[in-house]
Amino acid sequence: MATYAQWNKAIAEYFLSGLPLGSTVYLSIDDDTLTEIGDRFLKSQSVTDWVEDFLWAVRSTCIREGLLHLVGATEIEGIPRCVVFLGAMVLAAHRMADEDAVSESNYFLRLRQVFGLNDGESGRPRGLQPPGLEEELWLKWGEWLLRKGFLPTAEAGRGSSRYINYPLSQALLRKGDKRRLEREFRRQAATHHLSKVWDRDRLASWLRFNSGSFNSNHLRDIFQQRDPIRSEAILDSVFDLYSSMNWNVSSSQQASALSNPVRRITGGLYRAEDPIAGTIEYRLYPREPRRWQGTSMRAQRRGEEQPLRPDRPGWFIPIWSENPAGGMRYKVHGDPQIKELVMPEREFWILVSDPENEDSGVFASWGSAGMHEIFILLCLRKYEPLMKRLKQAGLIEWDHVMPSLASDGWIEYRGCRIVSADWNEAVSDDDDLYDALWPNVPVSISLRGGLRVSRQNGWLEGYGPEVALYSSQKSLRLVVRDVREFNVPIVDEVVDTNQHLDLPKQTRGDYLLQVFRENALLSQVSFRIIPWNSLRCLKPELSYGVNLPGFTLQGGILRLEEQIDG
Amino acid sequence: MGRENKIRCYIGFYADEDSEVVLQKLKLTVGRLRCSHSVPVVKFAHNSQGRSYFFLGVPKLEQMCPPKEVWKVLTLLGCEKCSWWPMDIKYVQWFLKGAEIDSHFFEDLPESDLETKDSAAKLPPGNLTNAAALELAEQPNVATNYPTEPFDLSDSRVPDEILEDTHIDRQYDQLLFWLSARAEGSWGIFVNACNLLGLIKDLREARYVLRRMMLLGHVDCSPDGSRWSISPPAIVQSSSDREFLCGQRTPELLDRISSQCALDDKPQPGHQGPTHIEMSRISLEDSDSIAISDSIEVMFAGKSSEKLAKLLPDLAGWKGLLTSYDKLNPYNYEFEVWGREGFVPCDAIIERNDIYTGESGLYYLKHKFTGLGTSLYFDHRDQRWLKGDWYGLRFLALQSSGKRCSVRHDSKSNELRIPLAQQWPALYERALVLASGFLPLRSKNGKWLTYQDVSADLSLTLANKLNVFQEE
Repeated sequence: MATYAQWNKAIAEYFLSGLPLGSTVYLSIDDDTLTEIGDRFLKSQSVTDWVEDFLWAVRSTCIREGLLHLVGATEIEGIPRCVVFLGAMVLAAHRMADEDAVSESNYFLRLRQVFGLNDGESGRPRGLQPPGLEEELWLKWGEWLLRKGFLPTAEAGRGSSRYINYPLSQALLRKGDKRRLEREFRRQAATHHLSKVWDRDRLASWLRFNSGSFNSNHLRDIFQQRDPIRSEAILDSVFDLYSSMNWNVSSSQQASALSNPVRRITGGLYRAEDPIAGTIEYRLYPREPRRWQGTSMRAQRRGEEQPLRPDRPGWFIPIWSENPAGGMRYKVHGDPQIKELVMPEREFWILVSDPENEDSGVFASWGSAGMHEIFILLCLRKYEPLMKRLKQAGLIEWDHVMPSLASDGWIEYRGCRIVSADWNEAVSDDDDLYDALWPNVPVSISLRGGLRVSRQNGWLEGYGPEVALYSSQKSLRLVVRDVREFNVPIVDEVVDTNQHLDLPKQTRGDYLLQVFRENALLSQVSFRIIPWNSLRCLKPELSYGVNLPGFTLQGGILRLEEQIDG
Repeated sequence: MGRENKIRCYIGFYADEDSEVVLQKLKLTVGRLRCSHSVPVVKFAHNSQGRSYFFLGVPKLEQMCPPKEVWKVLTLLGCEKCSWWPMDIKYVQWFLKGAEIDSHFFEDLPESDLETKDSAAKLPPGNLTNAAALELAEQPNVATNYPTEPFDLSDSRVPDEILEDTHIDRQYDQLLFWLSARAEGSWGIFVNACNLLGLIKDLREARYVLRRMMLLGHVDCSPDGSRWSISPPAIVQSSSDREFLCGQRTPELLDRISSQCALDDKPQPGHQGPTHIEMSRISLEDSDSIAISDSIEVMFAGKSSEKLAKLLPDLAGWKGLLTSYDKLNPYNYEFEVWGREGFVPCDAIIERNDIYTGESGLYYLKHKFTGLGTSLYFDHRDQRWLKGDWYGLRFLALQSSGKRCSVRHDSKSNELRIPLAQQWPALYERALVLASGFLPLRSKNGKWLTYQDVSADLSLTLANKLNVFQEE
């Protein structure tokens, strides 16, 4: 049996491993997640039912003499000890049935079941009285995430749901949602209305237009989610489900298929231009799978293996040249769960400039393009009429169009910019590209300049970033907070959008930058100011040197040919 | 056919659009620009892969380049990058053999059909550049302050030396720390960092910073300089058996090393680089190392300078390793040649039947349409254009002009003096710098560079390889 402390550490590691710094974190604990955490992080324990093991760990620590006792807000091994407790609260939210209305009585019914409270009472347990006693733990969790460079998402609700909204806000997909989704995916794939090799963006677009096919009000509400941050997290969960489906199981085996998922890596596209040779190359850009534990993986193509090496948080180094049309699958070796690398089928790619180095001239599928951000649209010619209409409608502009030199039938719109947010005015039959370009994010935050330190999501002390808010709004409220003094913002003012602004000089620490429109949070990012003495030597992925007959010179080191490894 | 008799050559371009669409655009553009006298005819066909080829017939070229109006037509169609010239009708027929070749004779639109005087700004729809590109077509890009060529020092001024002990040493150290944590990046990132840290007053001075970092063994670059990577940390032994650090360096690394030996830091001459860090009370042999982390260790490199000097090729061998361009269309460039007074205009370079005229030497080539320039060494004997570090190319030019290059070595102080005007190629200069770990000191009159800790043997070995006469 795993102890409370072991579960505490495992849960924290599960949710943060492989997550790019600055990402939002949802403590989305359900039965399947507990099983996965147990299998991957607690595998040394000889346990057959991880859910029961978790419940035992929670109850043995939090229940004394039949009463619920709150754990403290202290830390074990640098992790808040309340993680398991909060996880149990979220598990209860996940166990609310689809029909359950959001109310305290329904929620606490489930919570009592999770903690095994059989005292014949109902409503909020005595150990959580007065209401809001547990709020300190949620705030502690949020503050710890910020210190680690991640963004918390648990928030209080309004009125009578104020405190139960904390765990409810973390429950992304409820019990039954996953099974319902999987059934619908299989049904749609069997009729060829859904591909088995889409990436997240393509799947998201399909969901938005087909949410009516789900027989569940709850699921339909999920996919019509207005909160962009929550919507992205839900799509991540749905895509996790989709990309781990075992499409080869028979209908009789489907029930157990979810508990034995096939994990896959999805590829993006990396565009590199050689100005000297005048060539452009598109390469397969594998994404790090969520919660990857750093195993040494190799992708195989035509009998040859290529190692997957980390490039930056969330991505591996681009590997071989690839046709942007995609639709390919490659075997992966080296990880007990991840078996495939999928290059998704695409008819277009939105390629944005390197967020870590806008001057590099490199574009890749790192994310969607915000308002006024320069990107390249690589697409099939069939989208030309749509692009013309969008340009005529004043929604999008570009510098020029070139046939893709690397792939027949594809063209590149270079220097693209979305210049208006009034997309409701335009009409389109080409739903997927139109949907992908639609600026549904009301503001995008760009941090640039300064002396950035790769892989630490930070800037050096004294050389912090400039910020720009890209939006169709002329001005927005910008709030910058030092995480150590969260309630005392260092900046809280209305600023002009679409231009770069200097931030006040920051001392070392973690900061949260938030953008509001009329008190509604639109977007937020975290960043770190790093002291010079914390810099660590990093090994280059590609080292240069002087190659001369018989030897190589790198800096002050001479290596004769026979001394150089492979 | 009378109009076709006036055609002297053709300018070709290709497009992946339907040939009829491109032809319509051509007709409209030429008509609106009223330049059918400059481009009376076009021949076109498309291949089996759906690509259309067009050949604009022109009565003349302007200094072997398309006439201005024709270039404007190409730019408005967005095809300037897919164009090539000159060619005659036989070449066109050979190129399009097997395809059905059509011809069209252009006509200007009557003035009454033009809606505004500024009709050139009216662009046919479709795959076209915008008004900004039109302006570009009329005026070649003016070279900006941004140093596009990392190794080309021709338009950069040697920065002034800092004679006072200022905080700039700390800023160079910060540059090295940041490069070490970053590990690799683009030339642009390097320039930005130099600018941000206040190391340069003009962005072009970043070229000198890069060069010095490479001489000191801290950084290496791709052959074209567009990418850099941090060099692995190493302990190098000078000619006088002192050990110093070069390569990757962070405060953490220095702390680790200082736990094993004493560190002594000294500024570089003229404060033009990161602090020179010497180590004492350390006993190491070749290939020994100090572990810093799981993936980083500081290697003992021994006397790199002497090893390098023995292994380097002679000047001819080094020349053979430079990037070369065998095919270069001189008609696209304006030429300047390096002489006593610097670069002066030159019209001696022409190409006939694949043979380039003109003497061997260092040339500056400025593209007539983009305005971008680059320095290349022309090797007349081998008929190649060579690209490399600027001082190295200048050194080649000196040698090919018959100029006697010499150095002065002082065997008492083990100092080597080289005339600034004869600065050696970077690879050989690195061997001199690694002999001491210090950059050369510039003399007060600015005419000499003095390298420390250079033994007579080392000096002679290198001088012989470079055809340099050594005076004692």
